Amino acid sequence: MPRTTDINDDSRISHGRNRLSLISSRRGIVDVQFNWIFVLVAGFVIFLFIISIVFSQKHAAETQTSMSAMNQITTILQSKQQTGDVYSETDIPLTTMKFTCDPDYGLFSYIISDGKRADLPTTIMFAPPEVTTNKILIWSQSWSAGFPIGVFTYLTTKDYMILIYSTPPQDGAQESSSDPRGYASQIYNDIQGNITRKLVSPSELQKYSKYEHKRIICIKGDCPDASEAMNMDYLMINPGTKGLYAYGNVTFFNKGVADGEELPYITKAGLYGAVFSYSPEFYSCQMSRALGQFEFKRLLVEKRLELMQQDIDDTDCKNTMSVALDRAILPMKDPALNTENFTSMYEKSENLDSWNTDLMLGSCPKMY
Amino acid sequence: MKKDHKDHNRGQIQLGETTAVVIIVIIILIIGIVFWNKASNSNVKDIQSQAQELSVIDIANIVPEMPELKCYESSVSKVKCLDWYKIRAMGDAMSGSGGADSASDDKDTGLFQFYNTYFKDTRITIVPLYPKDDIIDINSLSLTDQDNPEMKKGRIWNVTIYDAKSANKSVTNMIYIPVNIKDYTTKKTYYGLVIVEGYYNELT
Repeated sequence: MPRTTDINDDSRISHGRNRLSLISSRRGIVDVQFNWIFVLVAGFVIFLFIISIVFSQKHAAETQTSMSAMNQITTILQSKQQTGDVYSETDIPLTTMKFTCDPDYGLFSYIISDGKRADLPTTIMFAPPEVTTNKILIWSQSWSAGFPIGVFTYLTTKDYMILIYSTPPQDGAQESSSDPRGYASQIYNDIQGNITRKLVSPSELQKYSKYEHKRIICIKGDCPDASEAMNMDYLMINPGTKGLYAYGNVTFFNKGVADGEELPYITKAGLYGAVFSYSPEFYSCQMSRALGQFEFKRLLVEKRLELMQQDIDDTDCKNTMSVALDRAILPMKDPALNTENFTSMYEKSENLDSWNTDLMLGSCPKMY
Repeated sequence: MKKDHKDHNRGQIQLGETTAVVIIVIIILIIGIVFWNKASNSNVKDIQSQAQELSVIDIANIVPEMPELKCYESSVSKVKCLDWYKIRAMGDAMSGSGGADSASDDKDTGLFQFYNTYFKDTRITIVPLYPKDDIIDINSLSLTDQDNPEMKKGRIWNVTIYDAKSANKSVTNMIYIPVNIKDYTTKKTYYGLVIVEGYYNELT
């Protein structure tokens, strides 16, 4: 019996050992599996972390590059508003720029290809709605109404062509500077030479019909006929009685539409604003912003004249200043974008120039 | 029996080791993220402070170049010369538009907004310095004298042409630019300073 018991004990012990050994070996399997799972999970987390850092750095670098391109373009555009009658060509990274002008808020901005937007709150710029280029051409003209107001800038690229429509003179006819052909030649000669422009006769017009970015400019009385006009956009200039660069109207004709939209222009700067604008809405928005700036500058001239009048003893000087203030500076307050107002503004600005010369000749301080 | 006990203990140590490694890796990761975050934050602050200084310097350089303030002779602008009456006109116009020296806090008017795009959050003061004999500080006059045109006539005092002061901002940077100030009514030229003070939120 005791032997049997021993045998039973031995087999029980041996069974127990086997069980423990089995449990221990299972724990080993669990340990090894856990280590592998841990390595996989931790590795995956670290991998994700590194990938996220790489992507965030890549995104930051891209943002930095596009911001630096945008800053570069903005600086270029803003710097051109300092001086009039300056032309420059600037290389930029290949970019698509969309120019927008909000007439309700008077906000002008541009958007570059990746959707980033930059405001140009003080810049009065006339440009196509969208340009894709690595070189921008910028030309500028000073705008004044007697006193200086600002600088208009015109942005274009080599792809945009200005076609100045002009019928050749008939045999023996003399070209006068104030007839449509004379004005067309004047525009051709005055647009900066590096800007793509051509003086075209009616027979040559068809050559450019398939050209994508063309802008046809004509003077009232010498414009494409109805059949030609229906196939293209064009701008008709109707100068006032004082010449091409005084004041007048411009009419924007859209392809396929018989009636155009007529808007006024004032001075050479304003006329080229219309020439470089590709829609009446954009032109009128920029001109409204320009008139807003005109009002600020007019207010400063008004205040300066009032202060000087108080401090000057010379009666003649005082009288001339008083006349200028009452007949020109004050009536020009809050100008509106219409033909009548532009005509009156031009006449008053001519008077201001004349009074300013009188002041200078009378050894008085000038008004501006 | 002893060997089994040893195996069991080794299993426990292995599991403990793994857990410790997990915890250490997590701690190292957290320390890394915190350090990176702090480093990038301090970098942002440096850039911000540098940008503020540069912005004040830029504005100080813009002021003497503005046609609204510059001296012109025969339509030619003079370098670093400001027209005294243009300065006073701007000061007057701004004070009427909620800008410089205005009692009202209304800074929504067009004129102020327009010049805000140039001058941003700053105060710009023009101070004539030399010759002293003609200069009277408006603050030293009695109220009656300040309104007396005879006292004002030919006299010069400091003019704040623009002030974008707001309650939650304080002055952090100040730049002085020397200029000539021309009074075209007396034909006198003064030596003076354009003082540009930047208002900024405190950097925390």
